[in-house]
Amino acid sequence: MDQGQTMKRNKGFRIGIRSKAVALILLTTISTVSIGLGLGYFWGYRLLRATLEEEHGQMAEMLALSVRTLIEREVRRLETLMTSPARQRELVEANLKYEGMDEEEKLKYFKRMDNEWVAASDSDPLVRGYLEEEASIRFRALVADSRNIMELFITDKAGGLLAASQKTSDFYQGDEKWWQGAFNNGKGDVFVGDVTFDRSVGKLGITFAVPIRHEGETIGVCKAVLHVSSFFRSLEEFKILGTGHAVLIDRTGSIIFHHGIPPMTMKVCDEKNLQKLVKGPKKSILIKAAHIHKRDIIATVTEVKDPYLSREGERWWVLIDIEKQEVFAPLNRLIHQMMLVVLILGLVTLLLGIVFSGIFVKPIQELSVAAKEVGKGDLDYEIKVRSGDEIGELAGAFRTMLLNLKYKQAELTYAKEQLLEGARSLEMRVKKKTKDLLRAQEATLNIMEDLEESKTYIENIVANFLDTLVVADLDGMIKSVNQVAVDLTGYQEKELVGRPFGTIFADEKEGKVLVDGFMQNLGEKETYKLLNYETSYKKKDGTGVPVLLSGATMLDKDGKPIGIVIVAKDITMRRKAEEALRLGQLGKLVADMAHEVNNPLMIISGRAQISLMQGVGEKERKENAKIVMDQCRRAREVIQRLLMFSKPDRGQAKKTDMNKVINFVIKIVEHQFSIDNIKIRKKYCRPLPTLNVNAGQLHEVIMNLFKNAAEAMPEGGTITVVTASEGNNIRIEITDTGQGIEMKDLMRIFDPFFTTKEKGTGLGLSVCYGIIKVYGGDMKCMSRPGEGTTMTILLPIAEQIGTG
Amino acid sequence: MAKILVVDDEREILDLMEIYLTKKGFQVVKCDNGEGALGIVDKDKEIDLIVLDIRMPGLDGKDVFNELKRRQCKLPIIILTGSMGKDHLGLEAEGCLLKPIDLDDLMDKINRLLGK
Repeated sequence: MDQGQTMKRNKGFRIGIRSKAVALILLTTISTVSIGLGLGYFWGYRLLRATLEEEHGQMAEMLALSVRTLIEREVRRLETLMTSPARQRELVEANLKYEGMDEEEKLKYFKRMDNEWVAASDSDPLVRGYLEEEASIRFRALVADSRNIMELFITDKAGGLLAASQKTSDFYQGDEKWWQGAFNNGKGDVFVGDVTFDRSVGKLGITFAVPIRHEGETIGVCKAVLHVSSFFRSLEEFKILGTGHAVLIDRTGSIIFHHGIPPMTMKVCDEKNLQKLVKGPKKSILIKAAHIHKRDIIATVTEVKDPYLSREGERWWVLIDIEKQEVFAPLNRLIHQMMLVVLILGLVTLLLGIVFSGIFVKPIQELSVAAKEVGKGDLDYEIKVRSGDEIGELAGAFRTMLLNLKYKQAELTYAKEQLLEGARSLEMRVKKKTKDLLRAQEATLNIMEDLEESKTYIENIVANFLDTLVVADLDGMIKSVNQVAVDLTGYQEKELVGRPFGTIFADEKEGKVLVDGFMQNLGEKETYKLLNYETSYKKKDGTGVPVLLSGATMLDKDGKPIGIVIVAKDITMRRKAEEALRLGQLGKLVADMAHEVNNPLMIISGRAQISLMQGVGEKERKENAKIVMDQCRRAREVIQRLLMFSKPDRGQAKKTDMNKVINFVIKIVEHQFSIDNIKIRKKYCRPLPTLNVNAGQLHEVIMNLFKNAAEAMPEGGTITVVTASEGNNIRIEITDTGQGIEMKDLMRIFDPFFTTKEKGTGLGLSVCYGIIKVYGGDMKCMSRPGEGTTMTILLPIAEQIGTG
Repeated sequence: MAKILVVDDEREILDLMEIYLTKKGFQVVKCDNGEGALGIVDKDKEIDLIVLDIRMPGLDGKDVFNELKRRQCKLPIIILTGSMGKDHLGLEAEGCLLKPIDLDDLMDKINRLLGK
């Protein structure tokens, strides 16, 4: 996919850097402010709630206190009312009728009275008798005056009615709970009772009952029923803000008093919330909209700790409830206002973001456009961005890059021109060369003509050549010969032409071999050459002529062989000279041998002479005889060596252990070697396969090699002898640490008479070589000047005794 | 008793000379190389005569002879040589014997040179 397509495809999803910047700013602002607002609301809520709990708690305490005060005040009022002597006197008198009456009689009396009382109307004489009592009249007046008291009456010490503000529901009160509480078995106690429906009044009321005492004795009980709403009127006056009210509830959660709600008709909340409210550690709880509340409210509670109430196991609580909405209205308002501010701020940020991002992004957009333009190839596009910040630097770098690009482009253009120029010049040169070639071809043709002319010239040369010249065809037949060849061989030219090349060789076979050698190499394109090969030609009369022969294949112009040219020089004279030289050398060899023989001879004669002297003992004579024998053997060996040089043979071959041979030689030389500071190291292969050789000859070889090694180390050194079994051969290596041998000498060391020693015969190694060759072995020399020499002898292992 | 220095690279010859000359009543000093011989002549002033072998490795008899003459050594020298070639003509040796020598010939020569 190319770049253009990629860009096009990406375009749909691209959000500009500017939009990204604005979005980032907006997102940061909104999130920060939102977190701030959230935290503000949370803290504000907690603060408000704590304040409310504190304030409302205090208020509830106050209200609870006022409730207690109300109850206390009412109790005191009743007690005061009942301390009048007239009341007490009446009661004492009334109580007299019970004297002599047992419990059964009392019950019978009250049953009768109750029946009569309930059946009687208000106007009945019985009822009127009681209601017309002075106390009843007084009580009626009190009830009429009071807004709170709905009913007021007293009973005697047995519970019988004595005086009442109005007709009571029944006559006997001793079975009532309030009565028993207040009489308390004659001990007397105040009773503040439940909010109950009073049957005699027909309304909800709170029962207050106080004992009437006289001379330390409870003589009667007074009961007052107070109107709930009126009694707690002071609570009704309590109001906080628009929705805050005071509520009084009992232990069941029933509302004793609530503004606008009839008492004991509803419960303030469900049981769960109630338990939370009265038991929880918190003074205030949030009650969700339900029951009496149309909205969520926050209720703060305090118990009314009244001793009279608690004595009867009753518990009341004052509750201040207020709508949550109202409490948190200021906070909500604040939040609303702040949100408005945030909204405005957001808009301002958005605007500023758009404006500023424009400032930041514009240079980048400009750079982007520039990059595209440059990409299209417009290197002259002017980048207008001028700012001191990083973008400015980027623009600067971009300009530099553009300059470099321009420069590189110019360079490229120049290089291209150069290339074109080069190509043009190359073309010119090719043309020129072609012309030259044509000219050269012409010249060659001229030369060919010249050659044709010179052919005759060459033929002349051949005719007057000083050496024999024979040309043979590919079948080895003589094609032509020159005059010298004719003169040398004694044949007529026509006798030779057409006959096999071997005809003129002393050994006819050799001629054939030679021609075959040429033929075998004819396949190769190169001219096959044979140089300075020594052999003999045969004259017509059968006598041999030593020649030094050189030959080469003749090729036609296509490189195809067409024949063989053989040039041979008569070297009869040279052979004679060489022979003379060789004889001279032989003379020297004999002289050397004479030296070698002289010493043993002198020792032999000397020892013999001593033995003949007077006074020589038997022992000395024997010793002399032994030395004489040794020296004779030595002389014989020298002579044998001389014989061996002329014609080495195996002599008497026996199974021989080369290790023993070497050890024998070492025994002979080691004394001298120790004087010359030469050490011998032996690395033998044991057991070494035996050889079928003449040990004496091998002594000679090893001795020679040891001597050479020693002579190569005039300052002393080490000779290492190694024997090894290698396939069908044994290998003997004699290595010295001496001066080594020059390469040019190394080639010739086995040649007879070649020596580098001042007094050497040049026969030692050549004799050794001859001996080893006779046994079918081989001898090699490895050396480098300054690094010593290793002589290696390979000898075939004896397979059977008496071979050869 | 005359003292004779015998110089020869071959031990057998040295031993032979020692036995023979001792038997003939001479005191013999042996040396198997040229350098050693020069050293002995330098130190041992009692030496009366030198028997010197020509063919020796290293400093040979000819070199030793020439060196002694150069040092103006007056000692009589008998040279033992394998061949009487022209090489030896340059040596103005008082006596020269061709190997293999006869020990009696050697004795005569020694006696003559020592003036006996």
